[in-house]
Amino acid sequence: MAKIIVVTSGKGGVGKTTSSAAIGTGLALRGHRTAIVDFDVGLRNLDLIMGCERRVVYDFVNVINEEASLKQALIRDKRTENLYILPASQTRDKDALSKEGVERVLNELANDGFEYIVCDSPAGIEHGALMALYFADAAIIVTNPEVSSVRDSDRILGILQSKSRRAEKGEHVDEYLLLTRYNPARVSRGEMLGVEDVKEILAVPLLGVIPESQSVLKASNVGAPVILDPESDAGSAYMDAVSRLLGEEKAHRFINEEKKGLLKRIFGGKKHETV
Amino acid sequence: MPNLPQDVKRSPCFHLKGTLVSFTILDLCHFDSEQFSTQLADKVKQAPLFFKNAPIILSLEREECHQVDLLHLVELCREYGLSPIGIRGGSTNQQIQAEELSLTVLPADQVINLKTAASDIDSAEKNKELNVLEDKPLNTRVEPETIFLPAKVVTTPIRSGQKVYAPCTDLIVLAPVSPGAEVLADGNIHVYAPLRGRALAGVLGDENARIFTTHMEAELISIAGFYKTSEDMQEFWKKSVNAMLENERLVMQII
Repeated sequence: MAKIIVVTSGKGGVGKTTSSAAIGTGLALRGHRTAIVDFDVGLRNLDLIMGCERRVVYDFVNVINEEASLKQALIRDKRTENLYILPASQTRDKDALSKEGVERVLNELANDGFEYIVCDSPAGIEHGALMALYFADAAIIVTNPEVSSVRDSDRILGILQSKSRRAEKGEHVDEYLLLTRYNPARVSRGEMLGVEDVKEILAVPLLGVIPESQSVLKASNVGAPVILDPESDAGSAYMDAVSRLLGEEKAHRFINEEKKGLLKRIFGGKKHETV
Repeated sequence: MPNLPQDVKRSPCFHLKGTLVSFTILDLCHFDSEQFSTQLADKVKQAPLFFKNAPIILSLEREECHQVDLLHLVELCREYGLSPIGIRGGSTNQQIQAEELSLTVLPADQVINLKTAASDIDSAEKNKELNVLEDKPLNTRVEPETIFLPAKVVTTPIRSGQKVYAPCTDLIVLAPVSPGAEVLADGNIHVYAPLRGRALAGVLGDENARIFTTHMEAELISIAGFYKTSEDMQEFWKKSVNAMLENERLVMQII
């Protein structure tokens, strides 16, 4: 049975695509056959972050419209085994995603032996986002530690538990909170919401805290998911999150401000922060 | 037109308010004029005050009652001091007759789920013709049938953008109510978790409705249309609160 995981947030620019790419890659690194599907029709980004933009021939909408087979449209990742990407169309809009079409493609992926299908949702609460979450078994809610992002995440959680297929059948969609762009120093200065504040408002189990990091920007620009850089703080935070998603216990890191030693203070100690 | 002060003229003549009134249903099993009179006289004798001008709904849902002359039945009821206000169910003829008598005609299935458990137990006693009330010793007070609906209980978080309404009853929430969410009830609202959205109790105008929460962080609370926003509740912030109306003012107490 394939597990369908939607990565969603409501708000834009919080790190959905970065997280989809990282978690999808992480699952594949752990040996699970994984497909990442880009639902952001019209604003496709996933292929850029995955570094496969020059290999896109057919896309998700082509498969839905039966203009191409799933095999033709799926892009095999060159770096990571077991990993495939189904890119979005850049020239269409989100109305091209029909419920029946999406269901057919997801079923085909499941029948093809994929264990995890990661759906990268567009921002907003409109059709595209609804299609991305409708068939989900689990949802990763990507949230930045600021009030408007938390509010939008809350909204999308409400939609998830009322408008998804599982909700319609009276079942529960598993929820996980992924707090991204977290900066402990700014939290202690009171400029950002803390982990506990966000957890208290959303009341959702915490999958991981991804520190605000230059390595994320760097990874996006070179087209390699940040999780492939295990030296980086964000990369290792995503790896921890994948372990937790697979049911393992891992202590949360990157939540507290790092105490800098004397030498570090003198020499900077910004090993992972240079672009 | 009489000379009314300007401000009275400008205010509306009336307000429409929904309310719940308890009344008695006379569930007719079969009809025999003499037997009916005897049984009714006996009932009224048990609690004369209760039956004096008591509003009553005549339930004619059973097949056996569809031939009953409604006028005769109504006259008998009035004779014993009852005040029939409407019928429930009945044949087409009976419904036409009811309209001629200025009685309300309620559809059969609308009220049926408002019946109390007591009357359900009663109706099981098939050898009784009238089963409005159980036979009780003469000296006990006879309670009217109250309309009772179980409270609506919600155990999952109510998220921003969601709205939960408990019509004709209380709402009990055992999970957080998020900012931007709305909980409404015709009765009381209980939130045993942080209440951060809007809570509106007594939405049909029940001024006795209350709002209880263990963590008051609401954007707005309202009882029967009288409201307070979060600005006005700073001293109760994050506290355990009981909110109610007092002389048309919304007041809060820490509990």
